[in-house]
Amino acid sequence: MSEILNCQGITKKFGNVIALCNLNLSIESGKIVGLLGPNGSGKTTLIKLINGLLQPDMGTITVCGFKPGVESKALVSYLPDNNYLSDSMTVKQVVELFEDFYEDFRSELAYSMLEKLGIDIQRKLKTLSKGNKEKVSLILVMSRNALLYVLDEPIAGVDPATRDYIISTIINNYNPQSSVIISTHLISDIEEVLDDVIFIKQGSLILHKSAEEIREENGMSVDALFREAFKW
Amino acid sequence: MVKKLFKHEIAFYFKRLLPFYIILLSVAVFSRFLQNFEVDFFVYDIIYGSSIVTYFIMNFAVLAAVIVNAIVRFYKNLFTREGYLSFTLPVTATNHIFVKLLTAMLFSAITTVIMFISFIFFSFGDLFAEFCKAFSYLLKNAVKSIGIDAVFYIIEFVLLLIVSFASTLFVYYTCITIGQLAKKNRIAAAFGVYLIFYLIEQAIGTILVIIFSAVSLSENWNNIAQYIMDNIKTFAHIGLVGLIITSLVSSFILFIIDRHIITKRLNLE
Repeated sequence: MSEILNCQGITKKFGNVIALCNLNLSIESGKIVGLLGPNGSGKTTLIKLINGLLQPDMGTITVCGFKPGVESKALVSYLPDNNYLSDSMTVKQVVELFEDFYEDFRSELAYSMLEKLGIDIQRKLKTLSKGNKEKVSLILVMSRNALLYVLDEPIAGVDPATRDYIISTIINNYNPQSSVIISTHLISDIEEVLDDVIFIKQGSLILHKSAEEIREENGMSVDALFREAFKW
Repeated sequence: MVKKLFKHEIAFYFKRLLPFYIILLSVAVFSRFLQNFEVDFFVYDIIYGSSIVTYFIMNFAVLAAVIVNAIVRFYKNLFTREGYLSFTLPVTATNHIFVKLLTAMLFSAITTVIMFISFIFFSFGDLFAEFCKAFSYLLKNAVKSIGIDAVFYIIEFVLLLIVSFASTLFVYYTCITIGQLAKKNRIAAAFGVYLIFYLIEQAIGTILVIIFSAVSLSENWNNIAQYIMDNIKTFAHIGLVGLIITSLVSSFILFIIDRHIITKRLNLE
């Protein structure tokens, strides 16, 4: 197994607020990793750093051996926690945009998944429901044959049936040689698919273990351990 | 990747500006069509007069649409939620900035051509013939009195227009990128930065006027003025080239600021 992501001494501040403090992390290929933590713990900040949307104040990040930049962006498939596609575009236009910019994009897979969902590719994104927009975004991201998938809150704000669809799409379409980082609060929904778990609290990494180890050592689920670790 | 960025930028502008072009050309044709009827009826006068006014308003509207789209596209595509897609594409910040700038300039040129074509439609017949006669008369006289320099002046003037337009766009872009450094009310911050740019521009203009006034009041002013008049062609070239270089330098500085903020200080909301 090769190292997909390496973070060394990552610190990020926003004014006087320390979002991440001397964070060290290594993720190997072929793992589905849950990035878990309460609101404001630094999950999204870390995700943005991995994707080159923020620059660390200290430390280094490498993705597949590259610093976040043009080379790493070609290898990372990122799903932000908001609707980031232009509403004025049609589904087809967005698929074509992904096809144009990502060599690893599998358009046949994207179209077949859209067809299964019954989404008319000629429709503008603004005419789709929130749930369908989320599904379109996820389909685009998972249709890439990337080395690292980074999904920020992919199942938040959608109904349980859609959550199940999203989780099955992730499992069925990612490259087993790749890694997936899923940031979420809804741990019980995602726990069964996780290989590794990262707990992040107030910008620091407090736990990085396999889900199996956590269950064996603590005699409880990851969800229960999370509630224990982050209780008020 | 740059070609692909261009493709998507051009598609965006085309979708936004095509309705304006269609309306402009239609109004031009309609107005010209009405000229064929010499009807002494007040309703006709109102319609004909309105069509002429509408035509001129549409010219301003089309020009405004290009500038507004250039600014809004830069802001929306890079600094709103769309930025999460734009900045995770395998494309550099330099590519993003230059593709947006060049596409805006391309469509400004296209818009100018469309406006000229609409003018041909609007004035088709005697009026356009008179316009062509007047233009060629002016050009002939210019070449006669100035000589071959007239051609160079035209080239320099066109270059100056292009570079000045790019420089103006860079000012807007830089106001937006600097505005992004604010924690809240980033659009208001961008307007604030624009106001500062405007004040700096006015201050520089005032200083130059003061310097010129001081020179013109000096003892040597008559000699200086005579020297300039004796070499007016050279000084005109120097002036135009000087303005081109100034615009290029300011554009480069503003580009460096934009690229630095985007690559080092970006923080999308």
